[in-house]
Amino acid sequence: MAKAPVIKINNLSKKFMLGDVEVQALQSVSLEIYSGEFIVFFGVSGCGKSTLMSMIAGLQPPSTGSILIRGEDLAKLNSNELAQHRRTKIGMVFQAFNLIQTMNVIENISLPLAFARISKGRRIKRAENLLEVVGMSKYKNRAPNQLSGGQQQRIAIARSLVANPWIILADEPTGNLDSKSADDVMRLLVSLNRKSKRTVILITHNPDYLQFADRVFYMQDGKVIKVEANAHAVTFNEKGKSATSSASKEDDFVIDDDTKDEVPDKPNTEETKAASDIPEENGNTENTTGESENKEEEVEAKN
Amino acid sequence: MRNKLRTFLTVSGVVVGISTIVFLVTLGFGLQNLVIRKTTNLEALKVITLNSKNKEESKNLNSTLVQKLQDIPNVDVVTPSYYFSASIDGYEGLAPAIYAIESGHFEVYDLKTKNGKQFTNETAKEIIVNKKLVDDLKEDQNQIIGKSFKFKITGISQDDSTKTMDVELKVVDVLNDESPGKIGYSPFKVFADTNSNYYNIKVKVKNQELLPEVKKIIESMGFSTSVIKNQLGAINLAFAIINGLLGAFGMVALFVAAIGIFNTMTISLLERTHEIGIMKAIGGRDKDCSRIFTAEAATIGLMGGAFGMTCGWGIGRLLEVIINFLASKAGPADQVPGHLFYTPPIFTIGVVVFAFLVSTFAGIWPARRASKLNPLEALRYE
Repeated sequence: MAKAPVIKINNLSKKFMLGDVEVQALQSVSLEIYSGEFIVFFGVSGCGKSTLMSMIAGLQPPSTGSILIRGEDLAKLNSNELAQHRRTKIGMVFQAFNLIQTMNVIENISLPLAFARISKGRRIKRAENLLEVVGMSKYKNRAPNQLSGGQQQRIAIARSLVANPWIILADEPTGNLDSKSADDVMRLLVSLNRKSKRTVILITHNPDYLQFADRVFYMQDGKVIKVEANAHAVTFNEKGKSATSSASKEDDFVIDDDTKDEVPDKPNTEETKAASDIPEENGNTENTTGESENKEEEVEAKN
Repeated sequence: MRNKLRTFLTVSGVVVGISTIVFLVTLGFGLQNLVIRKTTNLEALKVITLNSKNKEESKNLNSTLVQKLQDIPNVDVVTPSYYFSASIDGYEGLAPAIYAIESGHFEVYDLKTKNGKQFTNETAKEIIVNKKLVDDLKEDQNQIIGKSFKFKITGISQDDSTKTMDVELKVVDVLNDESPGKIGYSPFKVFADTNSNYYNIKVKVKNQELLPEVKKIIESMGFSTSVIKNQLGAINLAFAIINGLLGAFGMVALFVAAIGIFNTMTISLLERTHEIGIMKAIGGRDKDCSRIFTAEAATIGLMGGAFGMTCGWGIGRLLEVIINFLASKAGPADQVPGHLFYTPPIFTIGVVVFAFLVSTFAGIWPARRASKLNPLEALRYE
């Protein structure tokens, strides 16, 4: 069955000037990513993987080539449409967490919904659901700097999910974390992919994480040098039991709850409603709803 | 509101600017009202005075004219007066001016007596003297009442001859005035025998709005007129200029405050660059980012405007109370100035709106910068 890729990158190149030196950050990268895949971009720092991620997020335009997200060319979007793209289709998770320090946890999580003009009550409700998903409910009124790195990253993941995006882009999400927190964060990301069937793109230089990937893109000097499909991607629980004892009961509960709340094959759950209610300034509500149906279909196809 | 202290100081700057404007301008308005209140009364604003510029004209100011004026529509009162120079028996060199006016029309002349007395009747040989005359008679303001003085008055009669008349006049009251001239007022009919020319004729209209119309009719009859309104215009003009100057001083303070807002917003922009990068990365639009700054600047302006208004008004009130208290301790009751500050409601609203606009304007550039930030560079900015 021919599936439409959720991300299609054609012959993408990116050059920029560093002082007087021209840097070729990406060279003729072409790839396709399908809905529900767990993708790892793997390579040393400076290989262009972060550049690629920021271009998928529409934070910088390509020098040549194109990026199509479900067939929509990012180069054709204006600044408002790009903001909408980042808000509704992409959830970003950063190495530095990038929480807003002047806002508390619940405000941070609900911020993208505030940009979408969702009413405060619904924003808070949605953010509280997600806080439960990431197991941080009791910290909802904390300031980010009162939390540990691992906790902050879980908040950041909750924020990335708040507008129910198709794609989670995680750029070295465990880079600043101790190994236990890193495990927690990875468990969350893997569960989002396995149980919620979200497309997760992980950028990392840590070879330990390759085992979770459906496919790994090895990058070097701005090029994809090798693509490796992994027919037996490990889910975290298997690994968790063998490699670490930190998989607490609470976490399992959280992930179960996550399943209940996040799986998009239940179109009438609170989340789907909230997501399809998000009024888009360009009147694209239809698109969002259509998309979640689309996603369902693919989930079935995959199964 | 990231840095509370800085925001507080910025708001304080606006408060100082706005309260300076409010203090100075309401003082201007207050003094204007005070001057108008002390120099005129509302009745006086209804009065048209027919003056005689020369002998020829003065001949036309006569009882026939009084009758004619009485027939103009909307005229309430027409009342003539005589003017004499006088001397007083036993007071060498004292030459008071005596005005002979009709009893019952004191308001037309804006006369206020200490005890509220008027003449007993139209022919009573009585006089109301002003304070300066009392002083020059070496009398006390209370004890002079009831005393009689022998006046010799001199006037020009209608046949151009000088006419004198001796008359003994009893002091019935003292005027509340600050005139530097020695003045007395006596009943008009006492001096009818002198057959003098009228000094002037005062026409009181039924209400102030009708005054220009009646004035035009009288002028079309060939008489020159004067009305208090004319002086009021000059007072208002003078105070418009003074208020403008006072306001300009306040504007300097507000301008400094606006620079303060701009400065705060610019620093805030630098501090928040990373935050703006995050916001853009998680789906904030350009206008969401600029709105943060315009909203903050507008809030500063609104708060500064409201507090500044209150402060300026409060300082004015405080000063007013102190001045009135001191004045009431130091001098007689009629020396107490009363309201020194006047705050028109429209000015209150205007000032707050103005502060809001100025500070919003000061926030425009930082807001534009925020919206134009490159999200990737902003994210890297620490």
